Amino acid sequence: MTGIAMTQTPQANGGRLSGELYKVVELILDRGLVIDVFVRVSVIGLEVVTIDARVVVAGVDAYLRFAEVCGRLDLTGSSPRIGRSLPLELPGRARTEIG
Amino acid sequence: MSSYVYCVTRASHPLPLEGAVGMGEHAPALRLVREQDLVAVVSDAPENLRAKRRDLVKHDAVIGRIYAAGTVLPMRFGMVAPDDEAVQTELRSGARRYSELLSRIDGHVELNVKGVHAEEALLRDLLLQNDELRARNHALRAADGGRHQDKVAFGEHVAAAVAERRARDAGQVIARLQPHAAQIRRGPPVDGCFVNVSFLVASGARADFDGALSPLRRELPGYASVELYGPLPPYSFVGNEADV
Repeated sequence: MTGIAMTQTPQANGGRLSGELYKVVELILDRGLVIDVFVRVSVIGLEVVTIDARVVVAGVDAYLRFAEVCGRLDLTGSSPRIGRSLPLELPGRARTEIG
Repeated sequence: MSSYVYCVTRASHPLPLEGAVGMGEHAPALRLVREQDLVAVVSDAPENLRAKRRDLVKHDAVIGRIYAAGTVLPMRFGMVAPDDEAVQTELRSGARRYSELLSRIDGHVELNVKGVHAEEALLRDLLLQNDELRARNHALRAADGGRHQDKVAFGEHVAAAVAERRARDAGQVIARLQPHAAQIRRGPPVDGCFVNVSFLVASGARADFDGALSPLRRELPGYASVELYGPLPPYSFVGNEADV
């Protein structure tokens, strides 16, 4: 395997998959040992993962979205299982992939 | 040439780096910078190293090599020293701090737990259990969506109820798992998760920690799910804030 091929093919070590790595990317970007006298390279194209908890549920946009989603819910009949198949169009942030 | 730093560990630690390369287009060789009983794993950092997603994988993979063989202090992604000498100087001046950190995390792993709510199912549950919210939702629907300010006011009430459920369920996750952890550190709500929390768990407590997950999943409401990620190198427990 050439060096170039290795950089283009993410290798999982110790059985850890890049899919899982994606789920803990904030730990690698925002945690870990910091040495003050060293500099940090610019991080290109990586989403800033520090999110304020209030953003998720607060603000006029969030309120309107909640009202919208509630307005489209079917409250009759039996409970849909976890609602995964409900064809609601939510912003990406609110969508869940885990579990 | 400056030095990209991956991790710090003990010089006595096995260093299985054969065949591994550093980040950057030219796949630089990994080097060891030794100072007394500490060692840092580094590679040449190109002048204009611009980190991309695949570099993140490489960073974690190098740390993973060392971690698989024992205790390691993973660096935050992207730390670059002016040269190897600066790394050595830092190992010397911070020797006590690094040795203490290594001792503290010896025999421990980081386990990250994220919990998410299936939003539609959560909102449905809230409306079905709250007569007032259900009535207001019905009224807005009857008014063909209602006025802007009414929607905002209704949504604000829903948001408060959602926030309450998020806090409640997060509290439950932490309460059930914390007894099995030496340290705990909460993180931001990435992808809207209601809980994102890392636990530092001793290898002897792994079975109990894992064993607490199944009853936790059963206790949580049907719209909540939790996933476990790890074991991971202890990224969350080597910073200055790690004592919190």
